[in-house]
Amino acid sequence: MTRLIALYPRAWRLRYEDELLALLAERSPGPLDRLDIVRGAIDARLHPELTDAPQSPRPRSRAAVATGALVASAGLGWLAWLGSILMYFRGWGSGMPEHADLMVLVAFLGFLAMSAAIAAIAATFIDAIRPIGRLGLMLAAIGFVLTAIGGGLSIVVGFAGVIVVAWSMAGIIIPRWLAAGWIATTLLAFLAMVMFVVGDGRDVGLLALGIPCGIAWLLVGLAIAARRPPLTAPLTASPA
Amino acid sequence: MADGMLEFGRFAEPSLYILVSLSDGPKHGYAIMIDVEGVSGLPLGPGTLYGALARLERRGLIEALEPEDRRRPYRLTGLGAATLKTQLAGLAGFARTGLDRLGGTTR
Repeated sequence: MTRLIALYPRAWRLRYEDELLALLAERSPGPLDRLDIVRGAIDARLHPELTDAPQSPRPRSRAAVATGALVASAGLGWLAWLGSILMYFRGWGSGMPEHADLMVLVAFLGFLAMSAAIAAIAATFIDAIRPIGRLGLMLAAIGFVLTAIGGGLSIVVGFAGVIVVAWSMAGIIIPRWLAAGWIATTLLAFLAMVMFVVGDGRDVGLLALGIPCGIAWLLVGLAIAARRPPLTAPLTASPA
Repeated sequence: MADGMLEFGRFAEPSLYILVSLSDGPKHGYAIMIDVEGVSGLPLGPGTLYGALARLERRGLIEALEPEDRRRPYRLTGLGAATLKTQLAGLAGFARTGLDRLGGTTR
């Protein structure tokens, strides 16, 4: 559906895309509706004056920028945690790792940053995301807090929450492709951990498969920070 | 103003339905669509709805309110209400004339 809406001129989409998507979320479009959208797009291109009223660039919302920064920092936290493991951890049964205190501190801060990022997403976008996202936000926040304070397996709950959150934000807060990437890299990180555990913790290098997950958090953070809010004021209308 | 509505081309009729729909209070796109379909019996496609809304808003006949979630309600302006009244009065006169003439031929 977003491909059809992409046929509309940019100015039109800036003004009406959000509400049209909301309408289509309430009523699944049939073939005639799709045809009507294409006709509407042609009309909008033939009549650019309908949306060419002076518009000041919409400022980025401060809340979205702060949330994006927190999500990106959570990605950095995740990467720092993985990096410390890959550098200093030699696998189970190899004794106390070098810089163990540092690893614990990085893990604590990293997962705390992920919890904070999830809380910020909840505070900023709770009304915009799909309803199931609330459950995902709760799972992720609980999962990462428990992981931060040492509950290793709680990360599974956090990951499950992230997957639901990503899905609930897809096409609304972040692009669908980015949400799909976030989900895929989360699953990859989960798979890496399962393989690590199944392999009796010998191959620490497997955990490197979690690196794309951190990059996904970074990109999601950037996408959120760059997001401009929908228009909140009507366009200047010229009376007949 | 009739001329103004005629300028809407294929959007003139849907625009009139939208004005009628908004005459009892603000509504967002989906509510307008359902209401128009209920009142007129004609389906109103999403592309046509927003083509008409853009024209009505541009002409100052309706105005957008603060969005609720992603849904943005619209309401009739004073100009829109006056235009609708004129349009409906014209249509009522037209209907009366037609019915009178029809009555004359069937007597």
